[in-house]
Amino acid sequence: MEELWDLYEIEKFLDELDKKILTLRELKQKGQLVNPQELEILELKAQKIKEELFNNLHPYHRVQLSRHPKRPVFEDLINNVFEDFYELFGDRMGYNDFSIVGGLAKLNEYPVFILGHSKGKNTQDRIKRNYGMPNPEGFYKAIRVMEVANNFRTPLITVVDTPGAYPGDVAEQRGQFIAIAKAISKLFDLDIPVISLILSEGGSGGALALNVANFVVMLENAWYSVISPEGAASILYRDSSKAPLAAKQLKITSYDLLSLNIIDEIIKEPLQGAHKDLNYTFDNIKHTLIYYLKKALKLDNPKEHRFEKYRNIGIFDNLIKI
Amino acid sequence: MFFKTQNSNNWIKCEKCKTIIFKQDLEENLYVCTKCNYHFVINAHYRIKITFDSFYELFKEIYPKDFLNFDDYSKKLKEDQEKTNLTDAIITGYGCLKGDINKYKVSVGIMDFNFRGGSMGSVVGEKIALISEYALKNDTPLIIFSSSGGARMQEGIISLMQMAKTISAIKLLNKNRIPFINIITHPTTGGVAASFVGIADIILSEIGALIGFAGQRVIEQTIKQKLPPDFQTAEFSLKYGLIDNIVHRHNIPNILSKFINSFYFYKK
Repeated sequence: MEELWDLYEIEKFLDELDKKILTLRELKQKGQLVNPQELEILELKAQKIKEELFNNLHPYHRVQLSRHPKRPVFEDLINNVFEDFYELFGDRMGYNDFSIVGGLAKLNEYPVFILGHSKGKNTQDRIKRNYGMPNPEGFYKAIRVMEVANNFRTPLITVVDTPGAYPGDVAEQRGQFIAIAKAISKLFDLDIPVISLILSEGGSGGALALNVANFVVMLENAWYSVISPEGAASILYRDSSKAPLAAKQLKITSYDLLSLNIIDEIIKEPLQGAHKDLNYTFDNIKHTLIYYLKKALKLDNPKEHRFEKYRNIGIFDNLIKI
Repeated sequence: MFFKTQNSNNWIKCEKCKTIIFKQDLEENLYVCTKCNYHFVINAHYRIKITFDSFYELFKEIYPKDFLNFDDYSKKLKEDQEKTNLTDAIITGYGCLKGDINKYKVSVGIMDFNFRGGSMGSVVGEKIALISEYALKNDTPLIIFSSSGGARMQEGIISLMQMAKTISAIKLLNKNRIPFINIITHPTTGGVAASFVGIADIILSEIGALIGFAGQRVIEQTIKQKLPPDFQTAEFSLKYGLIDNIVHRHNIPNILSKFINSFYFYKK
């Protein structure tokens, strides 16, 4: 198996390097830099390392970037891509699952309903939000937001970021499989346009439950897969540490999914990942969402469009047609 | 061969109560243990034989493809095709239920766990879409026997999308009030449970069948507790209201006929 360079180690090293460069630049500005060539060489070196490594990321590096502790989450988008958010909480069945967040917001001048997996920003918040892993109640809450959006004839934008539906005993008892099926099913019922953004992690059925959309866009370093690379590795190779190999096999990166026609566009991230330049990331997300919202608003029948789109996904041989 | 034999002679050991049963007795009892009612996993061809008086296969021309060049998937497909005499993990067609005096026509899908663990890839998705469209066109109810470990890993994201595709196919039936009954047979989990099975009008389960979304090992690792022995069984699912009823293999054609006859009784 190929050796992967350690993303977090390299990032630490590059951060140190950047800090050093910054200090030298300050010295230069003050006219106190003894050897200006040193700065130039260092700048070139840093840029070269960054480009060499980050322009050739292994799929599993992208998985690591998607799980980076500083990676923006749905909450950041609510405050920086959208405006004027008003949250709707309940599933109307006796529970409020914090791993799903939804409500009314604005994208520039367009009112939209937004709905996404919510991972939380700090440890306490992450626990409260179950690390973005919904129980059945979360999917029922999502269904509610979908219905409301539909009745208000307002487009829905979903944001996918989940390791997967929560694998718990109580979740199973309450019918996790039914809840997921119903959420997917509900997305086919809607007469409004639906646009889906895959923000970071697209873990299997729990992700798909928010992802059936007219247009799907995806952050460059996000992943979306039928099974997590770790899960696949433990089944295929009986060794979850072989996740990098599985990540490559499963074809889960934004570039893979674009070539498989599962997504419509890749949203570019800064060279070292979305967290390195948040404003750049938010700007790109915003522009892309607006572009696809306008496009979706032009569809004659968004519901029919979704039916046709998903009806035609599949790669097989038809012996009669050959 | 319709099942996994413990040994190749005329005696078969029940996987549950370990009783040694005479093969002929087991066959006469439709591969249900004569002592403890354990339902052996049976293959799709045998299921057709014991459930329908007549059956015509459709969409046999749809073949799987290793489009991701995934490990030894091509080889595995070939092996399973030879082993099971199937093209992929589902047979689709139409027929009449055993003992139905009115000989009403039903559209049918039967999954087979012996083919890649009954996993759903492009072929299963396409054939479920095609048989749903056939049911719609011919105004017949749809019956699916599910048996699957979930979405097929070797077809990656395309397999995940089959969940959406099969759901959209069933939605077309809902819209036109064509009933869909799913019979859960052991086991039905993951992306198959969480797609067309999860939105069936009626969900019945064979005795003892496993039903659920997440795998038990993953759940135990997550909650750091041992799961009860009946976890995710048909009996567990009935207790928590996840399915409509549990059926004994002997009674399946009869129970299905009741519902099919109610549909045709008022159909113009």
